[in-house]
Amino acid sequence: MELPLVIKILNTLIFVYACMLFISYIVTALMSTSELKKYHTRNRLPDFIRILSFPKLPSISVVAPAYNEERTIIENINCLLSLKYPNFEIVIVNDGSKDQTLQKIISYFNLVKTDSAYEQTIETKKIRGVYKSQNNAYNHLTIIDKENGGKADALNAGLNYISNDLFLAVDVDTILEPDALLRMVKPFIEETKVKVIASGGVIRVANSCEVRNGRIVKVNFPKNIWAKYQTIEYFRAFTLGRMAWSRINGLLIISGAFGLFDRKTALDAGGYDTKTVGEDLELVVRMRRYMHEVTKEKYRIAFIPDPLCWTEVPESLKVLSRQRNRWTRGAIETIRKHLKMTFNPKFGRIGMISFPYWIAFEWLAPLIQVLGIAYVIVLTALGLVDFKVFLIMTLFVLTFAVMYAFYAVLLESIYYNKYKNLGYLTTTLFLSILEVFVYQPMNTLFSLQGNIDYFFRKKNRHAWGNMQRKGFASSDTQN
Amino acid sequence: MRFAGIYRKYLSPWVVVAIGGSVFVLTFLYLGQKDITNPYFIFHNPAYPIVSHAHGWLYVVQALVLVFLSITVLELFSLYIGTARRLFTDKKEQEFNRDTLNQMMDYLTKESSTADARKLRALTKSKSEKRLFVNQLRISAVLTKGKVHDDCITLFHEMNFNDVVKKNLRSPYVRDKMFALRVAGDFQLSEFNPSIAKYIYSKNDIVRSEAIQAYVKVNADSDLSFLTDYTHSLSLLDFNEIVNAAKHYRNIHFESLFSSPNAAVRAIGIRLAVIQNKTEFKPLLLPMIEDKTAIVREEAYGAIIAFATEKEDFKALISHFDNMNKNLQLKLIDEITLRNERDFVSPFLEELILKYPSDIKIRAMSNLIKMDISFALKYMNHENESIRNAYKHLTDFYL
Repeated sequence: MELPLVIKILNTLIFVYACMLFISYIVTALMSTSELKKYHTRNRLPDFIRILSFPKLPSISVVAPAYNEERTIIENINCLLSLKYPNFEIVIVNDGSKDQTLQKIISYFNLVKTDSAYEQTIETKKIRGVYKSQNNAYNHLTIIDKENGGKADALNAGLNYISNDLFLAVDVDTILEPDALLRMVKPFIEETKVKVIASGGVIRVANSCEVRNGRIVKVNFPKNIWAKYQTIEYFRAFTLGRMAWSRINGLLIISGAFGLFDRKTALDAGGYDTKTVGEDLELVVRMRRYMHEVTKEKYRIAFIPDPLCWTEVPESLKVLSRQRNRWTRGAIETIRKHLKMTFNPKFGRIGMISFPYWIAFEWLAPLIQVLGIAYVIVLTALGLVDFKVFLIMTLFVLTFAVMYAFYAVLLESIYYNKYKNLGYLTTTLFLSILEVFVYQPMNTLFSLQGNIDYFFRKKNRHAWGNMQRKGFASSDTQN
Repeated sequence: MRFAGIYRKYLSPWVVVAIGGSVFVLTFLYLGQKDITNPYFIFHNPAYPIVSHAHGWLYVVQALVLVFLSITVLELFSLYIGTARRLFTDKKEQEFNRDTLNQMMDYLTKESSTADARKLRALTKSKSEKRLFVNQLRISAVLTKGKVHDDCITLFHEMNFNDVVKKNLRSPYVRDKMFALRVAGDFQLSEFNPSIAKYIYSKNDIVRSEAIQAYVKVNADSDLSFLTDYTHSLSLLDFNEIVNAAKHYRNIHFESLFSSPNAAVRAIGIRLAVIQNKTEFKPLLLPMIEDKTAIVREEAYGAIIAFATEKEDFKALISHFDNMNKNLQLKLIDEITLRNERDFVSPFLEELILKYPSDIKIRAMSNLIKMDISFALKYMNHENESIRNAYKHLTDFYL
C-alpha cells in the first residue's frame, strides 16, 4: 500500500525523533556507568570523618524553608541538628505557616525573638522576626519568621541572613544522612582545576521506610503503588540521568530538596526567582549563565550519587498530578526565560547539548507523545496502520523501557543495595512492564495539563498547589 | 553453579554492558541466518521464520527487540545473583566483624602479646578479610591517640600486613593502589617510600593525590623540601591532609616551601609556620599578602594577623581588608583591638561601622565599645538605621 507523501514525511520525522531519544538514553546509561565507577573508585575508602579534623574548610549554612509543617517539624530540625560538620549553622525559614509550626519550634527549642541585624540583599516579603534559642546546645540554630511568599522567597530570606561560604538548600521534611554535608562538600575541596559552584545529591523515596529520631533505620520498598513507580523513576532520573549529565558538566537541575551551592555565586546571580514555580532549575541555569556571561571563569556543577537525602513522595494521584504539573510549568518558565542559551556556542555544552536536550526531550516529549497517539488513532481510522508493524514497534518500546529501568535498578543494587530482598526485584520487574501502559501515560497527561495551565490558564501559571504529606512510618522524638 | 559463582565474583555494570554489547553484535550477525553453523555444531535459529520476511529497518527493530529482551534477562540474572551475593557477603562480613574485629578491639584494649597477634592473623585468611581488617585497624589508628594508637601500629607490624600493602601497591587497579597508599601513609610505612614516590607524579589524579598525601606522612623526618618543586596542582583536600600530617614535623625547611612555584605548597608552608608559631618568618611572609594567588594571600593574611606586633603590620593588613574573607576580617578586628593604641584603632573601627556589612559592623562596634563605653551612647541613637540595628543586635543577650 502506497502511503501519501505527508504521512511519509510525518512518519520519517517521528522515526528520527524516536531514534534520537533512544540513542540519548543509551549514551546516558553508558556515561552514568563510567561516572559512577569513577566516583566509587575515588570514594572507595570512605574516611569522611577525617574531614572533621581539617583546618581549612568552607563553612556551610543549611537553609530550610518550612510551610505548615507542624506534624514533623521538631523531628526534622533534630535531624538537621545532628548533621556532622565542623562549621555549620541551620536556618529554618517559617514562610508564614498558618498552623502551629512556629509555636512548636519556639516551645521545643526555647526560642526568643532577637534584634538580629542583617542586610536585605535580595528583596523578600516582610521578616516578622529572627529567633534564637536560650539553650546553648542550639546556638547554631536560627529561625526566621516571615510573611508567606513561597519557597523561593523563603530561600532568599535565608540567603540574606547567612554569611557562610556555601549553603545547603533543603526541604525541611527530608531526612538527611548524618554525613551528608561531609560528602556533599567533597567536590568543593578536591577540585583543582575549576571552581565548583554547586553540588547536587540523589533524592531517595522514604515512603514505608522506618524512621526513628529523624533517621532512616530500615529501608523498605514503598507499599503504595504510585510511590513504587516513583522509586523506579528516581533510580532512572538520578542514578542514570543526572549522573550522566554530571559526566559532561551539563547538569541543569539540582533538586530543590537537596543541593549545596556557592553562596556568593548564587547571590551574585540574583538569588532565587520568586516568579517561577521551578526555582531550583531556574537558579542553576542562571548561575551557569552568570558564570559564562559575567565571571567567564571555568566552573563545574558536581553530582553525588550516594543516597544522602530521603523524602516522602506523593501517594495519591491528585498530589502527584499537582507536583508534575508544577514541574512542567517550572521547566517551561525557565526554558522561555533563558531561551537565548539554546544552540548558543557561547554557553558551551550547556547551550549546545543540555538546553536543546531539555527542550526536545523533557519539555516537548510529552506533547509529541500525545500527538503521536492521536496520529496513530487517525491513521487507524483511515486504515493506514499496518498492525504487525505497530505491534513490533510497541514491543520495541516495551522491551527497551524494561531494559532501561532494570539497568538503573542494577546500578543501584551493585553500588548501594539499599533494598535487601529478592521480592522487590520481582515487583520491580512487573512494575517496569506495566509502567509503559500505566505510569508513563499518566505522567504525560500531567505534563500536558502543565502545558495547558501555563499557556492557557494564566491564573494557574504560578500556583504551587497543596502538597499533602502523610508523615513517616514511625516517629518518636516529639515528646 | 560454578558459572554463577564466577559471574557473581566479577559482576559489575561494565561486565553487563560488555555482554549486552556482544549480544547486540551476535544478533545482527546471525539473526538473518536460518541455521547458525560452525565446525562443532549446527544451531537452528528459532527466530528466523519471524524475521525472514522483514526487511530494512523493520529487521533492525526486530533484532533490537531480541537484544533488549536478552539484556533484560541478563540484568535480571545479574540482579538475583548480585542480591544473593550481597545477602551472603553481608552475613559473612557481619560474622567477620563480630568475631575478628572484636578480637582486634580486645587486643587493643587489653594487655596482649605477639601470640595474640598471630591468632588474629590466622583468622584473616582471604584477600577481602585482610583488607577489611587492615582498613579497620587503619581507621582505629587514625581516630585514636596514645597507647591505643601505638598498639594499632604494633598490631599491624606483628600481623605482618606489609605484604598486603606491597601486593596492592603493585596491582594494576586504581582501587588497590589507593588502598595501599592510604594504609602506607596512615601507618607511616617508610619502607614503601620509593614505591610511593613513583606515584606522586601519576597521570591518574586520584592516585596522585593519595600518593602525595602518603608521601608526606611517611617522610616525617624530612624537611618537606620535596614539595617545593612539586608541579601538580594540590586540592584543598590535599592541603588539609598534608597540614594535618605535618603539623608536628620538626625539620621543615620553611624557606623552600615559601619559595615554591606551586601556590598550594606556599600556602601549606605558611599554614605550617603559623601552627608551629614560627614568628621569625614574618618578614618573609609579609610580602606574600600581595601574592597573585588567592589561597596564598589568604594564608598570608592569617599568618600576619597571628604574628603582627608592629603598627606597620596592621597598616599593611588594613590596606588589604577588602580582599580578605569574612573570617579573616573578623579576626583582624579582634587582634587589632587587642594589640594597638586607641588613636590608631578607633578611626579604623568607626569606618567599618559606617561602611561595612552588618556582621563586620557588629564586631567592630563590640570592640569599640569594649575600648570605650561612651561609644555605646553614640550608636544607640545613631541617625543611620543599620547602625542602630547593629547596636540592638550587639546588646541582644541571645545573639
